Amino acid sequence: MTIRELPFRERPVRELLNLDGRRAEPDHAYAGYGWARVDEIWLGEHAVRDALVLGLHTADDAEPLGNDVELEFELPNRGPVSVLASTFLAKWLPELPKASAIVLALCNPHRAPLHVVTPVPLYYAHGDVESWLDEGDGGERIRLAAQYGWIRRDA
Amino acid sequence: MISKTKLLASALILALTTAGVGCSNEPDRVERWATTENTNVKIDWNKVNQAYRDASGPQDLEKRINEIYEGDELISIAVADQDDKTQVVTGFFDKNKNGSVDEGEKIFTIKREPTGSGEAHVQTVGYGPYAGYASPFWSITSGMLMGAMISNMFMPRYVPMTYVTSNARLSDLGSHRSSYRASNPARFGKASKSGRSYGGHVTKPSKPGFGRSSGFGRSSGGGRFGLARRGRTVRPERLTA
Repeated sequence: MTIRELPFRERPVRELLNLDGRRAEPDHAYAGYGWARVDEIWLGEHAVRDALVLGLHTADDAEPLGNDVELEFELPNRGPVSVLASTFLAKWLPELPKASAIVLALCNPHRAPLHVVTPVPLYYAHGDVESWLDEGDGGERIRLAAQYGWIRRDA
Repeated sequence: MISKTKLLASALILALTTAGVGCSNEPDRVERWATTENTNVKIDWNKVNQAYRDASGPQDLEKRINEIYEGDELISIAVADQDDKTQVVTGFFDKNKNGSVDEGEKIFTIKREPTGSGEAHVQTVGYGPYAGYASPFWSITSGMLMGAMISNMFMPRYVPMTYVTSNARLSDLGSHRSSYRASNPARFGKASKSGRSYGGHVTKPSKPGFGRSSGFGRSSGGGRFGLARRGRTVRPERLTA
């Protein structure tokens, strides 16, 4: 299998971020991945407009890699595979729709700086990342919460 | 007020709890709880730290902190910057309403210290009834998404800040908090205040649901973008092409 053969597909954003059901807390067993275009997504208390959201996972036993993150993908009918985030993004980003920003929904337990060249600002987190659906008087918002904050890497 | 929040040292309990599964390799969470004589009001230190990270300025910070605090008192803040961009935010119960931090009024400090070019770290420490709480140092860098209160320190023309909650401002904060609590009945309902506890996570700021919003009406959890794999003996195949 090659990196481009991974079933990394477009999904409705709520499905991608596991927001279809109602949960008091995020599901820690969620392993879904893929991508979605959104008009708006909140990173903590900061709104990002016109974003390409990539839902990805790293394992809690992933080794510290300095400037990279080891991604892991669960696959049907075979064991999981891993790919370095830099390699994965280099292969996949050219194939995905353009947006004004790229947001990685991805845990980054070792707080690795991601030196990935992207044509638009790239947002990634330090520490755990969870997805949330907030509902208030003004409507709903989809929010990604990062344990230690969000990094914006400009193009 | 002093007697109201007097700490019963003999009632200090140290509780060790195991953190939920996560992709973090940090040590397990340690929670410290203490009991006061009368009002035992819990402070969610994770949210206090988040409030500092997001605040646009001192007045925004004091508003956020008073939304987080569940007790009857209003929390005032004093902000003092030093020339090297070190910033100390002191939270206090201004019992005599004189706009200064007097003996026995201090409940926490948030200290931001530069650690290098474009970098700093922050630590929150509890005092008085919250003595014993100390957050881990958390790092900030100039590329992070943060409120202006922190991010301004990376601006070349940063102007040191001095601020303290005024008596008039306390009145505004009280009105705002009353409205906020009225609009969040699930959190500020009829529950008795007696018997509540306060404390905080000593070594790890994360816990399941750390990302719950404090300012929105209702939040549903989605997923976490890490996989629990600790303890496995076989590593996954790595794709390189």
